[in-house]
Amino acid sequence: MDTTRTEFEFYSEGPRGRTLKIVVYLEVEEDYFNLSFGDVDSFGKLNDAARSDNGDTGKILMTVGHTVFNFLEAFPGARVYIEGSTPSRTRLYQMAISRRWDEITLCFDVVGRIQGDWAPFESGRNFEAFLISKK
Amino acid sequence: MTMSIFSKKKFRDRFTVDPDMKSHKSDPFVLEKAERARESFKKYGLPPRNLNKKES
Repeated sequence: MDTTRTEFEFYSEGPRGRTLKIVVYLEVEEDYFNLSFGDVDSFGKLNDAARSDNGDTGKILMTVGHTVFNFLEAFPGARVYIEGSTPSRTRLYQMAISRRWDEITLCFDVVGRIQGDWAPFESGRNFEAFLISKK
Repeated sequence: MTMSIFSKKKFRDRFTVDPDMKSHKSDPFVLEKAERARESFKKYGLPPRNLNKKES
């Protein structure tokens, strides 16, 4: 397996400084990859508790979206599982998907888990997790 | 016609390969998230591959 496109790093830069962000795709079931996304702390460890507050949330989510694209280009049969660490984080991801839905739906199939069941993605429903795959 | 943000070459080529990049695959945070995903799959199951196509 070519692992060069299973881990990505980029920086959030703004008034609060520069924060290294990491996105890791780890296979948890055959063809199912969990997306982990967090900041690197001063000990070199990842966490998602900190807020960089650089006013660039939209740009960060867009960049994470580009890693999904890159990953699925490299592994077209894979499905990417995304679940926020908190319900508000999951809602943030949902809003990001909704905002770009017209474009996302051209390239990807997105399903969401809602009250324990999987359903095609729809804006305005509060999903608990998402699975994204290449069309 | 809508041009997908993901079809633009500049975004495809946005990332470069860094052979010296430190891997975080064994980071406890990543392993914990992966375990959480596995537990979710066990609890709720996985959707059929054609879920979107069925509904459309």
